[in-house]
Amino acid sequence: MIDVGLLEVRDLAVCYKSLWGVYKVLDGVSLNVGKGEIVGIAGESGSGKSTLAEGVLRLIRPPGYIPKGKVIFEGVDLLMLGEQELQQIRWKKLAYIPQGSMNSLNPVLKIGDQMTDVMMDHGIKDKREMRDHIVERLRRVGLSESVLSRYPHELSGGMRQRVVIVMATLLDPTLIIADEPTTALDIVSQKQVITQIIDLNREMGTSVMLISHDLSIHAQASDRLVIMYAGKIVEFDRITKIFERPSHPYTSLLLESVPRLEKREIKGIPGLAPSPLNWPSGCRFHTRCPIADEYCANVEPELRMKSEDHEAGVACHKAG
Amino acid sequence: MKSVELLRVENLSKTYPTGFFGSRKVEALKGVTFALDEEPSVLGVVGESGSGKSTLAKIILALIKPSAGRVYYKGKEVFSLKRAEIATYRKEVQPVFQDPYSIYNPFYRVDRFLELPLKSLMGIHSKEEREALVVEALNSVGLRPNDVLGRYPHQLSGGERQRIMLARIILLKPRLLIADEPVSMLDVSLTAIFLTKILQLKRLQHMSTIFITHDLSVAHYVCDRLIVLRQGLIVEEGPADSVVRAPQHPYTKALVESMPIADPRKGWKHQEGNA
Amino acid sequence: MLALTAFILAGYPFSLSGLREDVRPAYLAPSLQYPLGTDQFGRSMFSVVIVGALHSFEIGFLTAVLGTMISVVVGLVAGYYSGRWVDTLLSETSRFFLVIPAFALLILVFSLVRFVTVYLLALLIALLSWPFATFVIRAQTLQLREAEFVNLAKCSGLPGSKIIFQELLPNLIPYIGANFTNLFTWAILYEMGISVIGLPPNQVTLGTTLYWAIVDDALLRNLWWLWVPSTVIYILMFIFLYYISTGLDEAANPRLKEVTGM
Repeated sequence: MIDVGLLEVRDLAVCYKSLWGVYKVLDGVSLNVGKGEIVGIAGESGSGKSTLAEGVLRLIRPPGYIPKGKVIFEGVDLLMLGEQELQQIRWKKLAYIPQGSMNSLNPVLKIGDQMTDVMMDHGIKDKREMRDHIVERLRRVGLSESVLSRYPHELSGGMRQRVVIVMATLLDPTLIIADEPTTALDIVSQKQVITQIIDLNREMGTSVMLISHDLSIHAQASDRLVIMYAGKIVEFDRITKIFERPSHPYTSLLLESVPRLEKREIKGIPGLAPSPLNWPSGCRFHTRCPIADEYCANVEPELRMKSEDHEAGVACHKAG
Repeated sequence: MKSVELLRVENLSKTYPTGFFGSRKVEALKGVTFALDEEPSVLGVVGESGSGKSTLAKIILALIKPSAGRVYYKGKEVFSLKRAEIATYRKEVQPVFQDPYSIYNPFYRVDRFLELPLKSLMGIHSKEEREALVVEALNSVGLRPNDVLGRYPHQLSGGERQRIMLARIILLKPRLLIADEPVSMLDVSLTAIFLTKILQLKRLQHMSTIFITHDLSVAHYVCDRLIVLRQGLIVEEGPADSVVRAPQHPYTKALVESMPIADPRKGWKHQEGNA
Repeated sequence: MLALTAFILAGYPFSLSGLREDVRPAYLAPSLQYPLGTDQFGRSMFSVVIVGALHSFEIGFLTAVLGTMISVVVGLVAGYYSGRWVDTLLSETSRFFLVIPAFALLILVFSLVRFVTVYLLALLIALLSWPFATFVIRAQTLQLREAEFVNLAKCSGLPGSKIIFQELLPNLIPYIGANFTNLFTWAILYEMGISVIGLPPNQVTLGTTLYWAIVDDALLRNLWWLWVPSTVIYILMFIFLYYISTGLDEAANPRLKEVTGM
C-alpha cells in the first residue's frame, strides 16, 4: 500500500550545545512518508517534533548540529547535499510551512508582490502565466483575487495562513511539511486550513508531514500517526488503530487527556516532561508510566514493527 | 434577587478610540449582560479573537473601566467600591492568563510571584508561614519546591511555569476565577491537569470560574453553562451540553460544525466538497 | 582594562589634590621636578591636570546622577499614568524644557554670574538636559505597562506607586544606565565647550586648561604640555564611558541569550 519511498528518515539526531551540556533534542528517529499519504507527527512540547521538521529540511543552525542520520528524499540524502542543490529542492519539491508562518509575511508588501518575489527567487519568469495559476489556487481555497492587492495585516489570521500555504505549494511540491499550521487560529479557520491541506493531498497527490500536538486534528486529517516522546518515536500506526487500540502507554494516556463530547473524565499524565539535557535511563517514559518496572528503567526499548509491512511500530517492553 | 448572585454584569459596553486623534471607534463590547449564581459553577465564554472576551475579562478584573454598564459583585457595584472593599475584591477575584511566560516579571525569582500576593492580599506577614504554604501548594501541583524555588522564570520550562500559576490560585483560594484562554498554550496533559483542578476547586473550595476560550471541546468539558460572544454581543447562551449539541444561532452552529472530532472514522476526510 | 585607567584617574586626585597654586616660574617644559611642566600661572601642570580631571569627572557624575534621577522619576510616572492629567502635565513641562537651547542658556548664565563652581555648573546642565532622557523612559514605560505581569501585579493588590518602582523600574535598568552615561558624556562636553569659548568656571577643570592653552597660543608656541595631557584624558574618559554603555547593553541581554540558546 505504501511505497517506502518519498521520504525516508533514518536514525536522525539533532543536538544543541550549551553551557550546561548537550541537549539531545532529537535522539535517533526513523520514519517513512510514502507517496500520497498524510503522516501526522504528534507529541507534546519538548518531544522534538518541530526539531524533526527542521532537521529534515536542514534548517538547524549553531549551536544546533546533526550528529548522525540520513534523510533520503526521492532517493537523495538531503544531509549530503550542498546548499545550491538544496535550494533547488526546497520549495519546488519540498515545501515547508513553519510554525507561526502566517506572521512571517512581509508587512510592507502586498500579498501579490510577495508571491511574485518568491517565484522570481526561484527562477520563474513568466508573470502572466504564474498570475493565472496563483488566482486559480486561491480560488480553490475560497480566497478571491482581491487578496493579492492587500497587505498582510488586512487579512485575518486564517486567511494569512491559507495564503502562506498557497504560496508554499505553487509549484506542486511532492511533499509538504507543516508545523503546527493551526495554532493560534480560531476554530473556523482551523477547519479551513486543515481542509485545504487535505484537498491538496486528495487532488494533487501531495504527501504531507503534519506536525501538531492536537490529536483531534490528526483524527481528522492524518492517515498514519507517529507519536513522539522525549526525542524519540514511541509508536506509529494507522490513525484508526492508534485511536482504537493504542499499544504504548503514553499514547493511551494522551488519548485519555483529550476532551471529547462524551463527557468522560479526562486524566492528565502525572509527572513532568524530562529535560533533553538529561534523558531518563532505559525507557524515557518510565518515570511517568503506570506500568513500568525495573527492566523498563534500565533498558531502552527498541522500535519494533507491529506488522509485516512496516506500517506500524511501537517502542515498549510491555506492548504485546 | 441580587443577594443570591455572585456576579452580575449588566449592559456592559466598552469602546476604544483608535486611529489618528481617536477619530475611529472600536466597540469591543456592546451591551453584555449575564449573571453567576452563588452556587459554584463554571461559566464558559466562547468567542474568537475580536469577540471582546479579553476586554470582558479585564473589566471584571477591574483592570479597565467600562464605557457603560455595571458590574456587581455580591450585590455591590464594583467600580464604586471603597478602598477597603477593593482589597477584598482583589482577594476574591483572581485571574489566570494565557501566556505562561509574560505573567512573570523577568527581573525577579518565581518565589516572589507566589509570596507577594500572600503578603499583600492575604496579609500573611510571617515569612515561615508563607514559605510553608508555598511548599504545600507546589507539592499539590506536582512540583518539587527545590526544583523550582530560587529560580528565574526563564530558567523554568513552560509546564513548570503554568503549574506555578496554578499553585498561586491554590494559595489564594479565590471565590471567582477569571481564566482568559488558560489552556491555549498548554500541552494536552497539562490542559487535562488544569481542567481537573478547576473542577476540583469548584467542589472542594467553592470556587466559581469564568472560563474564556475559543476551544469548544474544552469549554464543553469543563463548563456548566456557555455564553457565545461574537463581536461584542452575546448571541447564544445556555447549558453547555445544549449549546454544543443543539446550537440555535447560526454563528454557534458554524463553530460547532468546525470542531475537530477526536474520532478518525467520522469527520472532515470523509466529507465531500469541503468549503 | 579601561576601567583600571579610570580608577587610577580617580585615585590620584584624592591624594595629590594638595598641590595647587604655586608661583613658580611659568611655562617650564616638562622635567623631573615638574613631570608635565608648568602652566601660565606657574602651577605644576601635573597637579593641574589631575585636579582638572577630577573636577571634570565630578561635573559629569553629578549631572548624570541628578539628571537621571529626575528623568527616571518623571518618565516612569508620566508613562504609567499616561492617559491622565499627570502625564499631560509632566510631558508638557518636559517638552518645554526640551526646547530651550541649553548651550545658549549656559552661555547667558555664565556671562552674568560671577563665581561659577563646578557644582553650580553641574546643577545647571542637569536642569537643562533631563527632558531628553525622560521621553525615552516614558516611552519604555508606556510599552512595559501593557505587560501581563503588570496586570497580575494589579490583581495581586499592588498600588500604583509600588508597581512603578518594584515592577517597572527594575526592567528599565539598561535604559537608565544608558541615560546615565549619556548625561555624563554630554555634561563633560558642555563643560569643555563652555570653557573653550571663554567662559570657564572658576575652578580648574580640563576644559579650563584647554581654554588657557588656546589663549596662549600653545599650539603655535609648541607648548605641548599645556594641552596634550588634557586631551588625552578626555579621550580616555570617553572611551571608558563608551565601554560602560556597551557593557550595560550586554547586561540586559544575557538572559535572552540563555533562553534562545535552547
